[in-house]
Amino acid sequence: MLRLQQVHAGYGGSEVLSGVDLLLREGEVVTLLGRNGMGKSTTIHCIMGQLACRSGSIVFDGCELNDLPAFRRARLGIGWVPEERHIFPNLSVQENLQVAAANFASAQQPWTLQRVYQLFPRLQERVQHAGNQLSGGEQQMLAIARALMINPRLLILDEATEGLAPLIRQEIWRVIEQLKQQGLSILIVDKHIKTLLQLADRYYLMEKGQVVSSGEASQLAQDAGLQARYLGV
Amino acid sequence: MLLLIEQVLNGLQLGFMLFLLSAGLTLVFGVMNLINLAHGSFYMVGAYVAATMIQHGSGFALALLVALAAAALCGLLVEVLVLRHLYHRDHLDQVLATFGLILFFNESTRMIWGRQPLFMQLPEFLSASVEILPGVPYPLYRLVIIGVGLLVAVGLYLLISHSRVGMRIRAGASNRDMIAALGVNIRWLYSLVFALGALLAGFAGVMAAPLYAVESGMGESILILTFVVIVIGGIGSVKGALLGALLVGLVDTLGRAFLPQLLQGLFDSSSANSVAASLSSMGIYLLMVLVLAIRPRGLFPA
Ligand SMILES: Nc1ncnc2c1ncn2[C@@H]1O[C@H](COP(=O)(O)OP(=O)(O)OP(=O)(O)O)[C@@H](O)[C@H]1O
Ligand SMILES: [Mg+2]
Repeated sequence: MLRLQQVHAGYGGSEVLSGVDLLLREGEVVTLLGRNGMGKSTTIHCIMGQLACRSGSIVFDGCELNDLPAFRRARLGIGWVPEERHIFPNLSVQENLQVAAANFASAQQPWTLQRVYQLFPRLQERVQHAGNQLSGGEQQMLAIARALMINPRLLILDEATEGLAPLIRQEIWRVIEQLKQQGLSILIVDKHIKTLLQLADRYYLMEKGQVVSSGEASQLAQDAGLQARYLGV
Repeated sequence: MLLLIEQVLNGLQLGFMLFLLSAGLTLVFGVMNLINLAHGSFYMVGAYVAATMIQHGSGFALALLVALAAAALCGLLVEVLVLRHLYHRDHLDQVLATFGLILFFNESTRMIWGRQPLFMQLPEFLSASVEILPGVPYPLYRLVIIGVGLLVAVGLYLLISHSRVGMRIRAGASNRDMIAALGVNIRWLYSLVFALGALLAGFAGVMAAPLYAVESGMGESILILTFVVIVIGGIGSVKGALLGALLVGLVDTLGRAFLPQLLQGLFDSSSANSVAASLSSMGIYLLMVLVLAIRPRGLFPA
């Protein structure tokens, strides 16, 4: 479904990604791991078209994404929950959800306001609140709900449980698990390795802009040595 | 007292015309972070096209429609051909480029229409007067301008606060990249906003054409007032533009009408007149200073 080959990218004079390869099959949950600053978010920015690749190819469903502007990539069905959340502060919760261009007639069971509120009942209590009046946890829920509103076939989550109270974090994990059960393909970056490796099917481990290891998530979960070496856990 | 009512209405009329101009300018400035000095050119295009149509025997409604379309089309072309390449440049580059556009538009109108100003005849049904109070006639056309301004204000409010396009415009103003990542074609949205602003400026131009001379460069004198309006109102806020425009219209009109009389109590009549003249042309700038002293980012910072 998604294949990155030899992706190079960077900011200004510095190269951050030096040849990233990654494959995600339909219905899979794949996690991208690595310590701070290793290029996980940069990889996602390249997929979403927030940052131009210098070379290499990113193919989604047979389309070369590098040829497409960001909005076209989203319309192909890639939903993105950015690390910074990027909630629209001046829009209400409901408007944040409605603002997306949800065309994609292809979706069998399209996401509606009602369905995302079922997923996150807390958001429903806050429909009229402005984005900047929400707590961090609520903003995170809203960022996920908003990404779902474009009816993605691939959902990309960048540190969706970071900096949240344990209860809220559990709720987010529950939702991600639920989305997985529904068959959604997911690319996920997170700091909570243990939970993550239980959830994910496969992993890619990044070090200084390159993938240094990949395989079944369950294998990495048992490989304390590899974890210690690249993740410092 | 009667004079006061009349002058207040004149002030409102000027205010609503300024609103038509400033709504587009403030949106473009606030949403796209673009300073467009050539906004007055769309006003001029609207006025010229309408005046020409009427001179050639067209009806008012048709002239209005064609003028609006011409202004919107000019806006669209300017956005696509020139301004689209300037969004990520700093404001000075934008000022230079759009100043160049002013020269282009002014010179083009001189080439097409010559140096003589045009005058636009009002159709009969608009040139009547109505009695606003028993025995007090007032030109219907100026009331129409006020009405049109009110309608546009309501329409813009609905568009921006209650439509999906408006939602996207507001979202794009705060985060361009994120709105694109939600599948929204922000370029197209910007073109649309820009063309809408140009259309409203053209509308103001049509409205102004029967009242003032239609001539090359007519956009620039009013552009300065328009910038004062959006600075007072708060850049990016249409609500601010409305309030700012009405304030500027009223202060300017009432100042010119009543300052001479007020000052005659203090000075002899000829110096009162000259002091009043200079004070009243400063009036709106004093207003701006006052507003900015109290609210540095304007009345409704967006
Ligand atoms: N906008 C930017 N401009 C310049 N350098 C950047 C920018 N964003 C990230 N970098 C650099 O690129 C490198 C990779 O950053 P990236 O955000 O991809 O890391 P990450 O793996 O997501 O880390 P984290 O776990 O902290 O989120 C870092 O060295 C960072 O300093
Ligand atoms: Mg990151």
